[in-house]
Order: sequence, then structure tokens, then C-alpha cells
Amino acid sequence: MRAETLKGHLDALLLASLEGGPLHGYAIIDGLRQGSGGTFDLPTGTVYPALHRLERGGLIAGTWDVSGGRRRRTYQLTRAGRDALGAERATWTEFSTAVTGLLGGGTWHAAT
Amino acid sequence: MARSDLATGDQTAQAAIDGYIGDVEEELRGPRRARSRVLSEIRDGLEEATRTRMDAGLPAADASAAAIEEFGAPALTAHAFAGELGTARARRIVFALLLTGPCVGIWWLILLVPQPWRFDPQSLWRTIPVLPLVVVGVGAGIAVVAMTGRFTRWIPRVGAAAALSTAAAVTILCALGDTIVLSILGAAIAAGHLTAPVALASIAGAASVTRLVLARISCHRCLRTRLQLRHDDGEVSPR
Repeated sequence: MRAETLKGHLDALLLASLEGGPLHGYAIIDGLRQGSGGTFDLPTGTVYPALHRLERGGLIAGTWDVSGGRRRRTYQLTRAGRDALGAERATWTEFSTAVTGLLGGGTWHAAT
Repeated sequence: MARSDLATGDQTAQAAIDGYIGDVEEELRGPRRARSRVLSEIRDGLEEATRTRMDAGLPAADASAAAIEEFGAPALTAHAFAGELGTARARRIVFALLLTGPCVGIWWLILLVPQPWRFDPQSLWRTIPVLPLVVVGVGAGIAVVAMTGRFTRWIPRVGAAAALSTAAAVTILCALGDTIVLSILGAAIAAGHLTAPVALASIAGAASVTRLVLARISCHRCLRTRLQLRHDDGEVSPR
């Protein structure tokens, strides 16, 4: 799936990928790929800048650590990020329920 | 399970990663620390992607080639960060001007404020004609910081292009303000009306001249980065 398709939902997906605990950038990319069964194979050029933007907005916090002699930046959700994720989930549930109702194959009629 | 060790792998793998990072570095524009952070993250990601493939049984050279292919062309990778680096530049310049502004302004306030001091906005406005510029500049600077940072949870977010343009405008306001107060000081000296201590006038003048130079450099950097942006955010790059 192309990154453009996901643009409105990318932040929520990134926040959700960090819900289980801190991860570094490539692990987030890999997690999105694995978790979506390969559907969301996002380019690094989409994910890393989005992580920086979320960090700038205070929704995630990044810290440098050294692992195996290498510098590595690890991200984790902040309290504000958890709140934002909850809000994104509620919005998505409402949206997807409405869209499924309309596109799910059933019959519906507009008022005349 | 033990991870594959890139250091003991094929030297061509590490050389390929180094080459890719070098190519991205050439294309990146922005504050040095922000660029360094981006490069460190890309390198870590590339090495991790290479290790993942080595764990799956690929030779090191093939693993690094596949990882580099996954990351995309260096120019595209660098372009994807243009928005973030542009925003970082705008924020850094505005922060610097907001923080150093009082250090310059205090000397001019002491120098130009009517004596004896009394609160009289009209005479203050008359003797320090740059006050409207200060108000507009500080307001615009605070807006850039707020609309590109944590406050974006509650207020609209602006893209890198708008942040850079506003930051450039703030540097111009700064330079204009400094030019005006320096002109007032120059006119007072030329007319022999300087009543303030020479040391105070020299400090105020030196502070403004220094900031004029820095404002010019900052403005140039903002506008150059702004021109290099092809998109407002640079978040999405074709694969």
C-alpha cells in the first residue's frame, strides 16, 4: 500500500506500534509490516520524519542509547501520546463502523 | 537467537552502507545536529535491516544491497527529511532570536528610555520607535515555536515552508529594528546630543551590529532552505 493512502492514519499507526513498549525506528517499520501481514510496507522516508514530527509534538519521546557499540534512538509513548492514541482509536472506530455500514454490501436507502 | 554481526561480515557490506550514508549526507540541508541525528538513525536502520537479512541466511553483501534498496535512493531519503530539517532550522533561528533579544534590547532600553523614568506609553513609543517591530517580531517568533511544537495538539500546525518564511521575516524585522536604533545613536553622536555614557552606547551598538550580521546569515539560511523545499512537509516519498 502506498504511503499516500495512509497519510491520514500514519500517526495513529505509529503511536499504536509503540503501545507495547519502546522501539527503535527500524523495529517500528518492521512491526507495521509484520502486524499488517505485509500490507503496510512503509518506506523509511515516510516513517522516520513522521517519528520526528510526533516527537516534536510531544506525543512520543526519543532517547539515544548505545547497543553493541552503536548509537540507537529508541522511541516511547508519552502520556500525551497515549491520550492521542485513545482519541484516534475512538475516531477510527466511529469512522470504520459508518463506512462498513455503507460499503458492507447491505442495502440502504436515502430519504426521499 | 544470536544476531548476525555486521562487523565480522563482508567488508563490502559496511562499505556499501558507508557509501549510502555519505550520499544521503551530501543531499541533507539543515542544522548540523539535526542532520547528524538523521544520519545516525538511517545508519542504525540500515544496519538493522542488513542484520535481519543476514539472520535469514543472505550473505552480508547481498543483505546490505537489499537493505539499501529497501531504504530507496539517497536523494529521495534526504528529500523525505527536508520538511523536518527545515522546521528544525526555523525553530532554532527563532529560538535564538527570542532568547538573545532581551540581551540586546536591555541596553537600548537603558540608553533610549526617557529620564527620569515614568510610565508613559506615548513618550516611550516616541523615543523607542522600534517597539512596534519588537511586538510584531516577538509575536511572529512565538507563533512559529507554538505552531511547530507541542502546542500543535491544540492549535493548527504549520509546515516547514511557512515556518521558514516566518522565521526569515523575523530576522528581517530584527535587522530593521537594529538598523533604526543604530541610526538614532549615529544621529545623536553626529549632532553631539549623546548624553548617555559612551560605554553604554558602545555596548548597545556592538550588540546590535553583532545581531545584524547574525540576522543576515540566518535570513539567508532560512530562504535558501525554503527554496530547497519541494513540498511543505516532505513526509511522503515515492518508493
